[in-house]
Amino acid sequence: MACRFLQRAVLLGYLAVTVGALIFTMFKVHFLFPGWVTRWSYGMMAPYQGDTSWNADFVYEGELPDGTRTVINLDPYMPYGFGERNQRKFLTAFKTKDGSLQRRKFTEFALLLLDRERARGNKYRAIRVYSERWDRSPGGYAFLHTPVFTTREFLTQVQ
Amino acid sequence: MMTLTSHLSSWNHFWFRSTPPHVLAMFRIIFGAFLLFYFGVQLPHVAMLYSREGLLMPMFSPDAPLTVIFTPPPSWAAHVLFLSFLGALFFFTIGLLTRVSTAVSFILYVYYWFLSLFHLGASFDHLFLFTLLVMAFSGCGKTFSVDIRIRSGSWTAWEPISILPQRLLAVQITMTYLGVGWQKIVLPDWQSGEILVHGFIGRWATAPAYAIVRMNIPLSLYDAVTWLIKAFEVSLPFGLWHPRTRWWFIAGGTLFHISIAILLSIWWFLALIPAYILFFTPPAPSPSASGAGRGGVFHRVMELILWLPIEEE
Repeated sequence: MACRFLQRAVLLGYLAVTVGALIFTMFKVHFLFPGWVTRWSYGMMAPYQGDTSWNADFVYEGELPDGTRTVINLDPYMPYGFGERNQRKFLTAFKTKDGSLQRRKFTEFALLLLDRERARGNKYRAIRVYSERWDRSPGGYAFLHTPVFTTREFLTQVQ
Repeated sequence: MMTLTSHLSSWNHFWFRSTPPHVLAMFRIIFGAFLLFYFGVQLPHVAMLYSREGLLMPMFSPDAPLTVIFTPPPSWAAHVLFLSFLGALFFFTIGLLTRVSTAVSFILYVYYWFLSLFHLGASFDHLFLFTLLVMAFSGCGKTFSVDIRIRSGSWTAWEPISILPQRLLAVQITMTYLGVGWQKIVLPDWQSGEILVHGFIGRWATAPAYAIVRMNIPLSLYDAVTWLIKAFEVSLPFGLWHPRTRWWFIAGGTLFHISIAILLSIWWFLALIPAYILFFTPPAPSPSASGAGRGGVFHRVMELILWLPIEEE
């Protein structure tokens, strides 16, 4: 009896949450449940909603004690496929309306990198973080990633 | 005219009746193998992916008793945890201590979600976690499993289970396609074929996708394909439920997900293809049908495959 009741409760709960998520998907209206519940269910209905006509990447530039600068290769730290690695660099999981949390996280990420690089014997004095953007091209992902076609924005610096 | 009682009876029959466990057991084996591959290929990189040697920023700052478990561990501990995870997934796949191994797999998957996977925030991780949670309570180890072999001496012996978990998973897949398809109908980016062109030269694009764009195909053709995708995604969930159209939509869904894997290197949704088996409704179990020693595993699987297309709804 308790098992039957539990089964029905689970089913009704699941259906209500799923309908709530579908309503959120269609009309962006929150429906009864806590935000994280709706977001989780909505997350199962939300792949590939849009795209851009540009590519972007993030440059972490280390400054050595003698003042010279080198670009730090993040690939060894991020052993993912190309698309996933690029997407993760945006730190979009920390995106908020005003963007302040995401910006703080870029600083936090740069501090982590500085710590790891120093542990590897690379005595960087500071790390500067830039966002770079360029138009997409059928010629390849980095085909237009050249100084002429790339815009660069300073994000943060840690030392 | 159907009475309230008959509606209720149909409702209960659809959601709560007993059923043979073969569909869920077959899905358990394929899905388990898929997860083993998904996480197994990460094994050489565990130190960077899940330990303090990498650049991990967990979802929760590890500053409270409930969140401190998400402090990235040292490399050796990360390896121990990850091997435990792979072990649990392996046990889940072969059906050994099925309920416990599924629960452990789910808990560790949640751990990796909060530690790192949430950064990608992928729909497939949401789906896989939900699937593992449902499978933990499903009785999916009640045939084709080490558990049943130990209990009754036969791989093919089986015990009836509730159809509810299978229905929940099938309904979730339905809602996933429906939600995704609906969004594409209304989202501004999906109103023309440019979305495909941009996707085919974006961060996820593969060499074949770039090659397609370099062919200078007219945009009107991309427009047509975009609308075809939207129509397919909205109709797919209905097509999968209906016995007459099911195999057509399985073929279409297979082609769709393989194309995405080839053109956009997004291969994780291939797990949805074997999940289509969940739309097949097993017949009600007869008391004489269960039990041990009724042919080998190969015989039972072939029997099941031959039975699937001719089931009665």
